[in-house]
Amino acid sequence: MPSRLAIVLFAVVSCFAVSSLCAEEGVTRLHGLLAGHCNDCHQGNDAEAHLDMTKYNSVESVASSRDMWVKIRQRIETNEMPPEDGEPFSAEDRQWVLDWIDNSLRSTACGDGPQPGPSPLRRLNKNEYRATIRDLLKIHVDIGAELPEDGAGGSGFDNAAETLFLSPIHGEKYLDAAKAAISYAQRNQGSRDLILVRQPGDKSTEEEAAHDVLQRFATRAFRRPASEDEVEDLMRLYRQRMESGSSWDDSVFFTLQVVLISPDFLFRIEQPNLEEEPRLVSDHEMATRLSYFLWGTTPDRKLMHAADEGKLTDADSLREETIRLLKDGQSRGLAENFVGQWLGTRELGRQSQPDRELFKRYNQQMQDSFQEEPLLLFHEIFKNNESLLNLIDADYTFANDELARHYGIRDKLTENISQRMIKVKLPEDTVRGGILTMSGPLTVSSFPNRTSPVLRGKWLLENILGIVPPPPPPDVPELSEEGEDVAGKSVRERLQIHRDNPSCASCHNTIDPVGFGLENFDAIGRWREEDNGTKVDSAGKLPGGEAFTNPKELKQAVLRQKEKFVTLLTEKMLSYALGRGLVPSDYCAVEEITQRLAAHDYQTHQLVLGIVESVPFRYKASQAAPPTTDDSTVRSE
Amino acid sequence: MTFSKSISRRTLLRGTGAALALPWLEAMAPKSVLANTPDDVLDGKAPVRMAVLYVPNGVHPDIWNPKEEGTDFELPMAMEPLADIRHKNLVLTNLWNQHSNTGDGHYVKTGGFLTGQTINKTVGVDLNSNGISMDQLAAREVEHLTPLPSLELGTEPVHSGVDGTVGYTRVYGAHISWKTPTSPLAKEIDPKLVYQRMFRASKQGTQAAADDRLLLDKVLSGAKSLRGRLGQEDRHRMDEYLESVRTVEARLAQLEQPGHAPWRARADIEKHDAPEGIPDAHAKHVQLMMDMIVLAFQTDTTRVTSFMFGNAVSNKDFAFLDGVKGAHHSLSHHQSEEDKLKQYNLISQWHVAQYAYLLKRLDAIQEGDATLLDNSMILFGSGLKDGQSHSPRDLPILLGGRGGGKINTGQHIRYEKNTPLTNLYVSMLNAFGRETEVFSDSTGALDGVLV
Repeated sequence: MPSRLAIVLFAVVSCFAVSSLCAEEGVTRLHGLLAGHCNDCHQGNDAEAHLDMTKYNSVESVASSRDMWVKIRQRIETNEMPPEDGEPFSAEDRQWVLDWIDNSLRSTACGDGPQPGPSPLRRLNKNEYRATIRDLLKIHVDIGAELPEDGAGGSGFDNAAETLFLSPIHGEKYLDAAKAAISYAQRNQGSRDLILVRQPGDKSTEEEAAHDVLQRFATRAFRRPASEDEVEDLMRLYRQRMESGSSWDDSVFFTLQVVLISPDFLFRIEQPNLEEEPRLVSDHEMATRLSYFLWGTTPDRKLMHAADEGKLTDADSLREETIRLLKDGQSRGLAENFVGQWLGTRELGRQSQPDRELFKRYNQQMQDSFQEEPLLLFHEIFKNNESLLNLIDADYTFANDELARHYGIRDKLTENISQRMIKVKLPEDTVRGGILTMSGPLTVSSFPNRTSPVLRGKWLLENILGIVPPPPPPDVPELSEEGEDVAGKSVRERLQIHRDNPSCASCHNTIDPVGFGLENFDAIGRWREEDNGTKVDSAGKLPGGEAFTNPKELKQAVLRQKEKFVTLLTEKMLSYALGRGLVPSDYCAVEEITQRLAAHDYQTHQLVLGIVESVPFRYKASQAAPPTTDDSTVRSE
Repeated sequence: MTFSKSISRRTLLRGTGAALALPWLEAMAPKSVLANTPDDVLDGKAPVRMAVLYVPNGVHPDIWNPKEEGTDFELPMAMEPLADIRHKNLVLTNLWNQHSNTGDGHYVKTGGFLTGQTINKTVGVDLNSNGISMDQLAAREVEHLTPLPSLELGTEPVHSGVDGTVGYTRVYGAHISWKTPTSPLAKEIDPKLVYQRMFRASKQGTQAAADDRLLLDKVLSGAKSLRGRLGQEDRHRMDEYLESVRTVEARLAQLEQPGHAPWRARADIEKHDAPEGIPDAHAKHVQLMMDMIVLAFQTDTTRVTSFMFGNAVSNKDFAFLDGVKGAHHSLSHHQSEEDKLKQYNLISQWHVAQYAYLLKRLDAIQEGDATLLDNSMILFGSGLKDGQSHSPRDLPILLGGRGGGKINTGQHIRYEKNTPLTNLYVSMLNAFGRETEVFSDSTGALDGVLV
């Protein structure tokens, strides 16, 4: 039964292309499903929960009753509806309804105008914590390396509030890290100069000096002015230490430890908006949002100063600061945290480990350069306001001697190349340029010992075009009878067997031909003309039928579908910037930003400014209304 | 973990199998020292300990299910490493985890393995396992008696990203222990850090501990007032933070309490040097983690541990095993091809061998008339059966140790089809000392397990 896969994939692949046509087909199917599964109870004046589903059955109804549809979706998703004594959806229908609601919520997101969406409390993730300690204390020991790794949520980033939970182990590690950091800072002259803004002496008493030191440090650590109450609270601990006989120096540094384990430091805390309407985030909250987005660390002195002066609630100054941060070398923090998770190259050396027997030249240094190359390209493009499309195809890349050899372009380079990764102009005749043909992505989408057009096709669809193929059926049909037939066949031939099976074919006919385009690259991204003695055939096609015969043409085909790529990247980066998964209303901002990009040659600064100036990034939603009873029952306990 | 080092170490290991076989416990301290538990601590009954070892990607039925029942059964291929210790092991077949029979092939089976519940389908928002895991229920019973409430261990950091294809965050696949339905417990994967954590936790009454308390008290009082200023939604996170800090504080407070019968290590943890960080060889890594479990139980630093050999869908490369050339998850999709099956099975057998290693280590430590293994129960299992079909029926489940003499080991028991796995959890919790009648979909205790 090929049904579900075919339908879902068809819906995903073709509906996005011709949405109006699809919407009509969808509504017909929706009516049928609602009639069969919902309307028995949810119809007419005495409808259950006063929900008359016959009134909620069109894309327009989604536009006008978004909150209700979000609830309906939630009930279906959690299997609360239809109830046990009702008529359950088949798995396939259920997924289809959920997808239909999602798509309708997105396509109508701008109906109510842009909305801020939630801004949940979020702790610093491991990388943010490490960078923050480094910049706060100006120390160069890696404090925080012992914290547990953070998982990812939302669009796949580990700064998503919803998955940044805390275990008892965090308390222990924060305590240990604070002690280690402060002890190091106390002994380091650079840190002392930064922290001890006033010292007891002719002009200051010990009390006065301690007060100013604590006040200043807490302000920097909390990323907002520390209140007099907070400072006084710290002073009490300082005095206690003084009274117990500790020196001034020891007492002050001891007290600083409290700052580093307090929630005001460990969490990004924003004051809840208790007004009825969405409200601009405060200047200091904006400084924090901006800094963690673009640098992955705490605001620098200039940004804090701008916040102190109230400039970040002003659109022009905000834009100015955004560009300053972006052009600064510290924006490497964005590249480091964003690129590896977006492209999956963070898993190099973890889940992705090429077979070292087969690939003897693969080593730590090569792995580092695989990881570094896409990151450096991304950073360059974002610093210099180049086109986002350069990510797909560029006439330059970053390489060191080894990577250039790996790519077979070493002798054609004009640059003086060494161990260090530098920017190099690519020769005319190379297939390299852009992330699709970089060894990092090509390796993470391979098996340890061989390439997989399936994995590569899936990788490209998901991470470049934003098309997520549905999962294989839970019980993958066994291909045992073919076991003997496959011996000695090329990957392409073996996959042909796969695609001859109708229940596999519906999806793999879409996925595999994308991956074939990259078959000229082996499992660690080296160019090859032959695989297992057979000449490589890298012809294939993208969803929608656009054909190509080699990787160069594949890139061109992807570029012709640039709207999909740009939309995907916008979604990902907005989610990253907000530190949470996107909610349907965010797709209004996505649409505004992609339009802005199209009007400005896809310049990277337009993407970043589009995000920074968007309603979800600048505003916080009202938290005034207490949750209604209905809300609390929707949430499963 | 550095790469170049790994190659040389690998070469070294290839050359001298002995280097790999020398366990940390023995390399670091003679066995006589280990067995030398202070007498006064041994007064009274030894506590019962519980560990759960989770294997990703299932096992193939052909090498798992014994043909015969009872005490006299032939060990199937996967269980051959248990030959020497089979009398202290139970093989339980036909158990299933019914609430994980939905969703996807891996995440539901992993996140719900110890809760017996269905995880919320989400890439993040409303992350919820809908249950407290069995090990954490056990921990609640005894956590006030030991320096660490429980230890959660693994070998792989949580995989990055979300699994968009099936619609789950990979956080689910990296956590089997759930303190609350919304709070999974983060794992420690570095044996050195595990050791240091145990070591520090067991330190008593020092000035450092008093200072730590001072800091934590300060933070707690400030944080409580902050909590009041937060919106409803955010309080939950702040509660996790408060709980996290309080756990440390409570331990320090307990250690300092004058007049309080102090916790005493049952064996001297300081006899050992800390192991070096994460070894490059997976086998060595796993063995060190097993050693950490032994040390934790032997010293009584904690009585409850969970360990994940790998995260859900782990694609750990097992080329270090003779006859294997490939990664775990890929090989688990064997498509019944003989070559792949053979490799998948070797990987499964290797996991049982690590479990056998742990049992034997525990059994080598004397506690009065019994061994540490006799006072432990070690659950070994996966959340799915055949990696090809991802079914949560007839799960691969072993139970080692006698749980303080309460468990009837040495047999294979085949249950009625679709007997709840949670029935075993009911039995285990009762053997552990936590009276339990119902756990999730359980229909009672599991027949034949308890003496």
